[in-house]
Amino acid sequence: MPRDFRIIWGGGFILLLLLAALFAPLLSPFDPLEQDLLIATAPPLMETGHYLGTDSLGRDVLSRLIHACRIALTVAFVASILAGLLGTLLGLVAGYFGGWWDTIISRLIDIWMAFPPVLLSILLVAVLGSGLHSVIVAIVVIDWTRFARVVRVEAQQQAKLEYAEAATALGMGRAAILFREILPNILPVVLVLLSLEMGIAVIVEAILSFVGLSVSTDTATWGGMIAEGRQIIYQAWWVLVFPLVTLFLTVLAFNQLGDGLRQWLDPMLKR
Amino acid sequence: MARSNVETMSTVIDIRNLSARSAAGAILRDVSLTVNAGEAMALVGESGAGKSTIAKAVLGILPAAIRITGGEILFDGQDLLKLSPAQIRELLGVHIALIPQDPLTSLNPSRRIGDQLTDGLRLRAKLNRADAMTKALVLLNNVHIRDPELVLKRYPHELSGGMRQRVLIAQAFSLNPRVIIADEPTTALDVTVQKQVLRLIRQLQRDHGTTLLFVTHDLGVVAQICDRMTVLYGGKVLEQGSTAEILRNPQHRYTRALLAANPRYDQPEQRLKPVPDDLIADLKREIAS
Amino acid sequence: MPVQLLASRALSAIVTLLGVMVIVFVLVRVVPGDPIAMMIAPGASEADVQALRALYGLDLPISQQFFVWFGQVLQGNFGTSISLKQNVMRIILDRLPATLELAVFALCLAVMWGTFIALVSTAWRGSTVEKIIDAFNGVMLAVPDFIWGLTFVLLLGVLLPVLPISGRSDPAIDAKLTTQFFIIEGLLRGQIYFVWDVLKHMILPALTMAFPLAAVIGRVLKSALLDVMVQDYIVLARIKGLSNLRILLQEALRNAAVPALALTGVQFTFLIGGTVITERIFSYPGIGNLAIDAVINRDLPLIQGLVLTFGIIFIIVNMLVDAATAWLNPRLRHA
Repeated sequence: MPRDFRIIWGGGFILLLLLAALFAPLLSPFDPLEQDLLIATAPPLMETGHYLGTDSLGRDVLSRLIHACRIALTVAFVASILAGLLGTLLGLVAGYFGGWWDTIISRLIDIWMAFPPVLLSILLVAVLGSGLHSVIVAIVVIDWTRFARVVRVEAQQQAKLEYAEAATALGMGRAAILFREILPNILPVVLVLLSLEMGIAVIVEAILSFVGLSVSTDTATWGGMIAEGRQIIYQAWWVLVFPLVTLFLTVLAFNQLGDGLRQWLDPMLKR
Repeated sequence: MARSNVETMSTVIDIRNLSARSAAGAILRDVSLTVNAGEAMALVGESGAGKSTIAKAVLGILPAAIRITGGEILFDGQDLLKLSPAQIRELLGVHIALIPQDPLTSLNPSRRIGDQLTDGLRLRAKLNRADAMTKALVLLNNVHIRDPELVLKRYPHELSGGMRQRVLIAQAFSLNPRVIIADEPTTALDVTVQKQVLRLIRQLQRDHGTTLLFVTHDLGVVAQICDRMTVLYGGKVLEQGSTAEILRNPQHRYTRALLAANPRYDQPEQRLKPVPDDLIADLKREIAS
Repeated sequence: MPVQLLASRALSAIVTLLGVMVIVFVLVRVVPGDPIAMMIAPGASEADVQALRALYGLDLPISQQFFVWFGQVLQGNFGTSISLKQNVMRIILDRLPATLELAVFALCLAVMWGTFIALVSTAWRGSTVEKIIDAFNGVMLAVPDFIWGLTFVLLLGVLLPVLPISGRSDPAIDAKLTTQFFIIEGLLRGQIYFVWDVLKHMILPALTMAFPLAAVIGRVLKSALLDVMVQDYIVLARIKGLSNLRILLQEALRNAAVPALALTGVQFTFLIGGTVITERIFSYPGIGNLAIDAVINRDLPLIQGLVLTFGIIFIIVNMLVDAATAWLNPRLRHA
């Protein structure tokens, strides 16, 4: 069992978010979409039941915060896993098969890296239009290189090790060696990258919903709440502060989990 | 001037019972030696004998892993080991200077030769830039560098190893220090250049009356430029005395073995004998006790 | 810098830019939505739509559209913005100075702050000071600019309202400038009060962009400094009796800057990319903010112009980094 503090708190916090997302309707004191202009921008108060206050339309901040976990975690998991799958696959092929495969994929990675991510995401979202699908596609298209680059080098190194050569000598097919022998040894690295990528995905989603390019503005998102809070910051600071702190902790949790995993898995990688 | 200093035999460096250890064990064992004003003293030994450690201890640049466990290093009667870093910095450069081992890595690659050469003149002797550069021209002349004006404007990578070592020698002598420590200053150079550089160091040392502490493993070099020598093994002083005396009549059998293992310019046909293993074993036992 | 190297860099820059242009064109032309449909009033006739198509050149075959577009772009003609109904080039040139001044200011802050923390934590190596700085640097590195920006808004704009959090200058001050280079022109005209106001507006967004870059510079430069500090010429400088501060600044910094710059050079372009979200957070009227509006409005001509502008800026930044590396490294300069 990992005893690293970072893994425990990082993983624990993400688990908490997962539970909040799963049981959002049960946990939320109010309907996140229910407007009540009579209690608009009510400050956090215990008596009213709006523990974290309300926004400019009188919607309950806490309830929206909890429901927003759904969007954040959906993007974090779906986008990261898809980017991870694509990147790992291409990295494995480039690193293990080498030759033309490697030339083409490496060149592709180089071109991608030369293209600043901001430009690419502006273009992609402009082309795809706003919405959750676009956000996910944009993250996958931009960030697969993070996985491909690392996995390619790892696969190259693994292919040189004795066990892979022994498997070749035993007459195992190349694909079989790749997936049964090499992939399991690279998996820890991918896991670390995945955790870090999820932190990035959460931020990207928040930024895109902040500027209004993610899901429609009714749906609760941290970025959307932050955008509204930014506008009414002098009247109702709580609308900005709570989603911002949640976002911060989430990004930090994924980051720390990734760093902790890296250190914990390191001896396993060296074995 | 230099001669008269030797005659009065005033002691400049007086190392007394110096001991040092690292995690691996003792590095120096109760080392005592004196260096007199104006003379050239050689510290001779194989690698690991402790000769470099002594030089570094005098300069106050021992790595953190090596700890002095006893003894004192007197410079003009002052114990260097008891000085604060600021006080040591006052002495370094002005009174004690170093000719380093590797001229290729001892010059800052991103500064011009002129700037590096005149650091001491400007910062310690408080000369202005123009005066310092004029003085630098003289210094480069003294180390037989042609076109000194051009060299001052060059970067280190534009000079050969021998040239760089001459620059470093000029730098060491720039403030006319009382003591110069030369740490195997020729090992990184071509054989043809080695002799010229040695001759240069010897000549400057005599002209300035500088006291020279010369660290080397090469008895040929010792014979060429040092007045006296100290033979070290395993951090222990085995023999100390005038170079001529020791080379003619070595007292310690390790010194004899070392002489037999060194090529001699006067007897090129002679076969070299490595230091015998049983002698090494004896020495180790003797030192450990 | 050798001419050959310079030429090959310039050539690869041109190729990159061409690549960007092709990608921009292809991506924008395969847009699922019809930009014309967004512009016309409901109930417009088919003839009106066709007229608009012709106006924006959207009725030609795609290959022809590319060459027409390419030729226009080379002349600096990006067409007319759909949402702002103005010449794209003019809109961009109008907004670009604000972003350039902000980015240069942020870059200076990042380099100074990053260098400062690297020097301090190297000078106090092994002490509590080093631990505190390293921990702080770790947080700076982990937190993205988006969160920094909003945190600054909260802390220094609202909780402790010492700095303005939106806009570029106080609209009450009319400095009567002719260009959009507020800082440069303001200084030239001696309008110190106005320049001070503009600077105050720039501090928080510049800090937002500078923080993540400063953290990277701090970390990379520190490890480069630690590598340099054990070199023989540093030991010799100590023996020359130079002070620790002088050794760090005169002997070590420049030699450490070369590898540090090579490793952080790419990050400089990330800072430029950071203008997009930072300008949004601080309602700063630069091209980053403009880009978001263009995407929201699906203003294709404007998006194309902006993406190419960013592309050119990225290329120039990369060339400046190359030039700085060469300047710092005498071996390259004279080779």
